Amino acid sequence: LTERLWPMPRQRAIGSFSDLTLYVDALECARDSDGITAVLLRSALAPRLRSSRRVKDQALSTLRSVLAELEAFGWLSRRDAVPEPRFSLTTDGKTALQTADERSFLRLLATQLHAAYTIPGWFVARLWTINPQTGEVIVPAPAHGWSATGSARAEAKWGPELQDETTAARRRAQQANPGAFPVSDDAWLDAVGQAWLHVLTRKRRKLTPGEDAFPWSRSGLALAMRMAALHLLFAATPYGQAAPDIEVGRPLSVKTFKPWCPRLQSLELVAYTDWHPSVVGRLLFPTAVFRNEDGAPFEELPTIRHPDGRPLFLHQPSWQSLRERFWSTLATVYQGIARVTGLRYVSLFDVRDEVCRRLRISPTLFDRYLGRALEEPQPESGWQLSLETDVREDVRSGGQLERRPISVAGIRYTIIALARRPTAPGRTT
Amino acid sequence: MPRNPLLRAPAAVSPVPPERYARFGWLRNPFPDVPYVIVGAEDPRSNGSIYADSVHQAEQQRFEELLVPTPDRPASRMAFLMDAAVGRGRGIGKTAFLNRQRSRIMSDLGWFVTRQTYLLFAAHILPPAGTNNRKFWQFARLLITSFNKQEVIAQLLWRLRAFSGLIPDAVLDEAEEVSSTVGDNDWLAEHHVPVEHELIPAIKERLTTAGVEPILAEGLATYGHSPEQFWTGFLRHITDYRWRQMAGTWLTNDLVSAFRLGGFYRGLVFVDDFEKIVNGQNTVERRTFADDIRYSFVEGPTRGAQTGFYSLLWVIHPYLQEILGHHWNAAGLDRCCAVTGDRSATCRIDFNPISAANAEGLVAEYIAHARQPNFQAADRLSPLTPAAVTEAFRITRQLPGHLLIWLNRVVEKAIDEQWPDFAPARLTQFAQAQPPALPDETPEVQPLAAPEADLREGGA
Repeated sequence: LTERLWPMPRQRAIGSFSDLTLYVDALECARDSDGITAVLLRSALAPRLRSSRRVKDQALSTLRSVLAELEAFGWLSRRDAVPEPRFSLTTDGKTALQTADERSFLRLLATQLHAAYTIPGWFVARLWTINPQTGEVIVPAPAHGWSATGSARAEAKWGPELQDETTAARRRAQQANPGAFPVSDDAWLDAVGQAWLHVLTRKRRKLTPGEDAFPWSRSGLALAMRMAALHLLFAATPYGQAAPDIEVGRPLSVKTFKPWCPRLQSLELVAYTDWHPSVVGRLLFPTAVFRNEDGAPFEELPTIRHPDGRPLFLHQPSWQSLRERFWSTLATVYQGIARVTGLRYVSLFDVRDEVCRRLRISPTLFDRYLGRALEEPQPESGWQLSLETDVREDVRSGGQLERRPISVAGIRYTIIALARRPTAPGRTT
Repeated sequence: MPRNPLLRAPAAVSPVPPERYARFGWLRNPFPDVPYVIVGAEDPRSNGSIYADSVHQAEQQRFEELLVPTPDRPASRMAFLMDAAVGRGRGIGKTAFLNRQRSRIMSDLGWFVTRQTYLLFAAHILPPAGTNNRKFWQFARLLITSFNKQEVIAQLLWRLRAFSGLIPDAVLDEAEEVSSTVGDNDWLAEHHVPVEHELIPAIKERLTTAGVEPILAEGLATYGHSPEQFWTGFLRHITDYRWRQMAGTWLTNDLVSAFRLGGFYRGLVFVDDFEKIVNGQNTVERRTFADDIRYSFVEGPTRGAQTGFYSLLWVIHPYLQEILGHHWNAAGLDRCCAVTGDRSATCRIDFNPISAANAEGLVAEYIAHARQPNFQAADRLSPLTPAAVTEAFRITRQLPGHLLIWLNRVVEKAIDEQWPDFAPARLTQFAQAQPPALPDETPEVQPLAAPEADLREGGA
């Protein structure tokens, strides 16, 4: 039966970066200079934005892992090892750089990443295994603003307060979508309890004076929940099944899950959000599927195949076919959020996340189609669209800075309003 | 017609022609167009002056039991007012109630409610939102400025002037409206009272002897008789630096001495929207604030604590119980007035939602104030009916504030569209088009809608 399993990855270590343009910049740098090192690459790179945060310099370790990954793809080859590994561009690397457009480059990258790590294809398949109906999966988190009270801290153990919040997190996830978190209460409580003990006894990088408050904070419990969810849902053996589906013991850890989510989103295989108004935690859904049937809204990526032979199809409906539905979904989602918040201009991030979820399109495609919607005359429904670039207060700091920005024609938009175009006043005769 | 645009004056006509409401026999729309009580507003519909006592009779009785001293019953130093309705604090009528209690007491300085025994004053404190009231000195400053605005200090000065012996009895007999007579230096001068040279120095002397700090005594004696003058002549010039040092002791020592000199037995202070103060505070400030309250009003070496002069009524939001309780108890205030636990029931006024019958009384009271004189109405509610009021009351979920403002819109609609009557069915229909702006009750989690695209094989 081994041929039906996902193969053992060639490569395990993954760099903790999620910005895929680093690959391109590294390749270009290698092309233009006679062999590059991590130090050279760092001096060549311009400051860049990670989501909405400005990153002046990349860490050397990040750049080393970029080079190592490119070597694994066969796009760079190692020339000397001393004093610092030096790489030069290979023929394959040159071909990759000459790829016609961004989209084909992303597909090529998906192919390479899948060949090296197996995770891209496996992850999409796993989402569909967890929730065969829609592929939506929720990794629960404690309620916003939650933290354990003083008495729970004083107890210093896996007490009722933490347990209650854990149960509540599961209940919230199941209320949002019953299929998206198919874990039983007992299993969940056990797994989070164990993970939380890991958090409690973890090695602390820096010993700060005073008590360790982290395990009782929201982020501490959230970390435990993420560990538990990965252990239950993304282990080698799918939850509730007997046999593993991949030839490796632990395909994902908290550390590797973090860079994989944005990477897979950039590759247009999966989309996710941590800020969906109806979900506390991370909501993941696939924008690709393994299937036999070829269909109009799909783009086949034959280089990624399920062990049973089905190729991967990316859901990439054309603008012509989607146009009307895009407008109506945008309007419905906007109205829903505007009604709840009572505002005319609402967060474009929230609208984007929900439109992508409903239409099962990638955020990249959303950006492109929003641009089309801006350019083209509005359909007969008579909606008019307005986007603004004001930096919202809630995305100025904190976790929301990490949300994937929405840029249309190079402009980063943050808020959106839709209004019915006023109809011409009827003329009285 | 003057050509110069500076000389244009706005028309002095009321914005709405009264004929608009003549069909119903009204002078105006009887119901307020704002959903809250604005203390001191010009419009009688929204300044709390139209008030049906029957509506909160039980609360009023409880209020008197707890806070108003009579010969056979002492009063507590502190109490809470909390709404007993679940999660619907806004628009239940707390501010209107407190405003009513204040004006009731201030109309005769508590003479009637204490059964002709004591003199009281009452002040209704409305803290502004924001973080400018986090410290106790800022809270004390807010109290002092509110005493001034609400004529408490002026009342004190009028009394001191009357009992100074420098205004002849014949002149006092002429004084009917106190604020424009004894409270007016020009009037007194016309009646040959030597204000500048004798009255003011004499009052200052008496205040200083009673233990009031000279600077404050001078300010009170010179300007205290008029809220405007006390503000422009004294309070406005006090810097934050000085307030920080003096506000607490002025409130709890000097002013208490002054009030007692004026014959006041107690001062009732209603702190409305207490959450606005507490929400702006951090943990340390909450603890300090509770400690300061204890020191200033309960057991510190202050005149206020020694004489139990101030009675405080804290209006709290249900959530405040949770965030304040801890600090309140740590300061030992729970022994005086518990905010949490079983004992809190003994010092709490539960503010209940009003009943349908009371809603009728309330609506009738507003209608009565808008009736044209000589108009023969069928009954006190007409042209509305008890069924219509019941329906409107149901639609606005038993919240009086929302009931009144929604009826305002109903009346406008009825006039615009020439409704023949106020049948409940019309109200129901109107509620669908223009629902009342009620507090939200959204469920905790909304289920995710099904995706519109199905990627599976055979899916759409």
